[in-house]
Amino acid sequence: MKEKNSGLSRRRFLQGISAAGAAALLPCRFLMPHSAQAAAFSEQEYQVFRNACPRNCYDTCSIKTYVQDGVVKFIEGAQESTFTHGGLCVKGYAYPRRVYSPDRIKYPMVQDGRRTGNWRRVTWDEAMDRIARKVLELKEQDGSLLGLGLTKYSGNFGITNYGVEGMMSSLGYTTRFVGTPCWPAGIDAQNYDLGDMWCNDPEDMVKSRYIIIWGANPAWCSVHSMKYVMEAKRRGAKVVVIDPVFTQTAAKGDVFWQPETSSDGALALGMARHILDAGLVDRDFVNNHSVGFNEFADYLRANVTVEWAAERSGIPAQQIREVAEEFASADPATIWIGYGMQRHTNGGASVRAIDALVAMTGNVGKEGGGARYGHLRTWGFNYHALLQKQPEGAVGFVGGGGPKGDFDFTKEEAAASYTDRTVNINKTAQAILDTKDPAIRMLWVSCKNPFAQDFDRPKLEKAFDTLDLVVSVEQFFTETVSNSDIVLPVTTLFEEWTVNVSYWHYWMGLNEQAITPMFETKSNIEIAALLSKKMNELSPGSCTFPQEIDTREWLEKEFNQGIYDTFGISHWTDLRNGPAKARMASSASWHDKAFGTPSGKYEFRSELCEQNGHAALPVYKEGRKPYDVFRVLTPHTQFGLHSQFINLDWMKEYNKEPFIYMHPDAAREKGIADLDTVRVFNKVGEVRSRVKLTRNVAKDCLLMYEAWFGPESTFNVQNLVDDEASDMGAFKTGAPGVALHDQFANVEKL
Amino acid sequence: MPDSHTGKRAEIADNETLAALRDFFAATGAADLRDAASRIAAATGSPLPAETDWTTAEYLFNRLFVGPAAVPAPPYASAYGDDESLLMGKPAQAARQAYRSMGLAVPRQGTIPDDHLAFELDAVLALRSLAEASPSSPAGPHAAFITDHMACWLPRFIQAVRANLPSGTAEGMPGPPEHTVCPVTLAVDTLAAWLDEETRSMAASSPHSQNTNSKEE
Ligand code: SF4
Repeated sequence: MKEKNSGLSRRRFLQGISAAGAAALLPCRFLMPHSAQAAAFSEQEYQVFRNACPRNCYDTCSIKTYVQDGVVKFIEGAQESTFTHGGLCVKGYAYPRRVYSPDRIKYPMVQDGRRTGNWRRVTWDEAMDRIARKVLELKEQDGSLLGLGLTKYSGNFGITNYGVEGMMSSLGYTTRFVGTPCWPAGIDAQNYDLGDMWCNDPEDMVKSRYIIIWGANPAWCSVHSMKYVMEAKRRGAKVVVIDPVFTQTAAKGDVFWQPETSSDGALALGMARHILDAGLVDRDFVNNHSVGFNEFADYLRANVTVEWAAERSGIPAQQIREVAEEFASADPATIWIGYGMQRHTNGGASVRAIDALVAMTGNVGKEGGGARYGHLRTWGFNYHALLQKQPEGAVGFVGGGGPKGDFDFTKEEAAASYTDRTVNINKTAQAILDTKDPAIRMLWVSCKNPFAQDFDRPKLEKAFDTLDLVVSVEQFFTETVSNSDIVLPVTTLFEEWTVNVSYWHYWMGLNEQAITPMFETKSNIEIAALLSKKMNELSPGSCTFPQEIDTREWLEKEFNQGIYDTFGISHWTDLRNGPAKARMASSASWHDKAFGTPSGKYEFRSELCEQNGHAALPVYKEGRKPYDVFRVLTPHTQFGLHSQFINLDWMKEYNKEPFIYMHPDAAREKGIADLDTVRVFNKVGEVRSRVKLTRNVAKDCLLMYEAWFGPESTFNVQNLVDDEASDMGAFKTGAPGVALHDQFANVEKL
Repeated sequence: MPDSHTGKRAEIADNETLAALRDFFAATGAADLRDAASRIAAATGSPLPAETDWTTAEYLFNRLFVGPAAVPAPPYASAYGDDESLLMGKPAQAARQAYRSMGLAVPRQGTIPDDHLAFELDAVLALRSLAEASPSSPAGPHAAFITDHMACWLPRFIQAVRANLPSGTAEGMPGPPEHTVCPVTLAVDTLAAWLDEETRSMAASSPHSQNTNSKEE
């Protein structure tokens, strides 16, 4: 029986039907006469489309999508990109399971009472009517639209999705949640030291003779980069992995250090001191291409010893000396600075210390070298979707300005009398509660799942409860949707036109609409156009966003000659033949040593940094004081990106339930055995789950992977994470980062 | 199903039941549900209580079949495929081919999967009409579509609905449970009875019919 589940035999079925011409006379309500001949479709033929994974992942894979009779049959990584190299990660291969998941959000719906689960379908027109009327009511009551908030981040990185911000601007001046939960402290640090965040081409890691992967787990989070690490290793490079967790990347390294969490700055400075003492400083670099090295050296001699670093970090002094010497002697040597290690109250300071280590050994500006963190060098699009004008007479915030996040491509108009009001994205809950005159009363959520990603979930729920109207634009039912009044179904990558680039590698990939958008899904810019139509219907002139758009045209509008020149293509349609790579003078960032700092040199001593309230030198900064017994680490899981992919059947096959990972010695002291159910609790809230004992985590640490959702689970690690800020981030991204790995809790057996 | 043995009267009632079932599963809101469920009730002689709260019925209907939360009983054949529990799988392709052979297609092909229950019931009505027009092949395509296709997934669909209905016949419905009938229960019971009847009569009339699923429920 099972085998023939889909076995409606065409031969059998076709027997007896000859009166196809009479189709129009059949008593159907839905089925319509089909004009095209059935024979026109060949079962053997595939149409091939280009797609690009938009998931805020290092790898930004180029995808080839095979479509048959309008249905995605399978996908693969594009062979044309040496980076993607024909492969995807498990998440990527699961994309057909996303677009065709029965659980997708299919229609615009309204909820009668948040968290009640009482949902009704509405038409797009009805949804837009309710939204537009609320926008107009806010404007009427407040005299501005500052009561309308937008929280959006990187859930869909396709460039045209900046149309969400564009939609907000086209309505007027609104309140924006700015900053980034991801990497801001490190961005600021690299800007102080080097004048920009700009990393080498990851493909040149094969040339490295020594690789330190510091607080990153590419075996899970950048699978394609691993082939360069492994090739370098095959050619004789040594690979050192530094992580508070014994990761799969660590398992592949030659040396694994498991330091005290957030002691990275001390460790880097201890290594620097030893390099200084051993006479391994690259004198040409520090003398000719840097400022402030002598002061840094003085600081090291006066304040840092290897023994001190060993004591802080827990890594034996002898090992620190050995690795420091090897690193300084290898040519070239590189450090991959992960984003996890800067999510601390001393994260920016730690990144500066690591940058200094790379610079003093002359590895900056070198192929196969570099302090690798990320880059935005290939992002020179027009941001046409983003740059919409406020309507005539719009009233906004006075005295604003400054960056609106890490991907802020707006150039603030000179002397604009009004701006958007900006609040810190890393304190979403507090900002909603605190912001007054006018209060935030309506929130638009897109490309983001605040209840999974934002900090202090109990406070977030309280904050959401103060809002009059929450609109979520989503593909799946998350806790954020549950806390919304209206949900709007949004397209997947296969259903929209856009273009993607990476913040890590240097490829650009086209994203074609491969299939008809399913159900009633619409892309973010189509939603904006619909809202504009309704706004103008109700109040002419109230929204400047175009009311009719062709998404393919909007993709085209993102390109310019600069982008074509950078990527060596003559037109975006060339990308149909495969992704293109930026043409670079060298695979090394800063290869000409023309740094972006005020001095034009590498700045061991940064006055800008000092002006912004930090130490001028990359000095040691103490981490956050523990506020509970165990440190709580909540890193990304292997088969998800935040909450994305987590709910798919493939992932659930591997991760049937969330676990809390704990060291067996710590567990024994607490009377906890493997697979016991425990409660982890702190001042923020609590999480209940079963325990898995493992020596992969330190004894003072409780680890749980970040995201989990589904009807059967209330597990949410943000119940244990407060919104404490990291030291840096405000300079370049508008708000400091968040110290999400400086969290503490206790545990008890249930 | 009561009173659907032979004769023109029963045939008409049966078509009306099917059409009402189709419209029930295609409902977009409380008004559609009320209309379709009332027709099912009339055709089957199982009246619904006057005090039925149709908005509550709509919430339940969406929870089971529509969303936005993950749906326990998606009304698409592909969701019950053995190899892939995904939409637009082989059963959807099979349904598409079936419609094509009748010169039919779903509207805006590619948006709502071809194997949505409402489309399939629509196709059954079309097949009946075709069979009436050429009575020489009574157990042809009509039987194939039901026994080889619909009977493969509907029992599992029906089971999924029943397993996820609120306990009792009418939780969330006003009035004492023993006197009220939940519209979803009525629809799914009617669907089950229809499928049972169809597969039974086909098995009787065609010895070659591969009727293996009718006992599943
Ligand atoms: S999640 Fe990352 S590695 Fe996986 S397909 Fe997308 S870009 Fe590639």
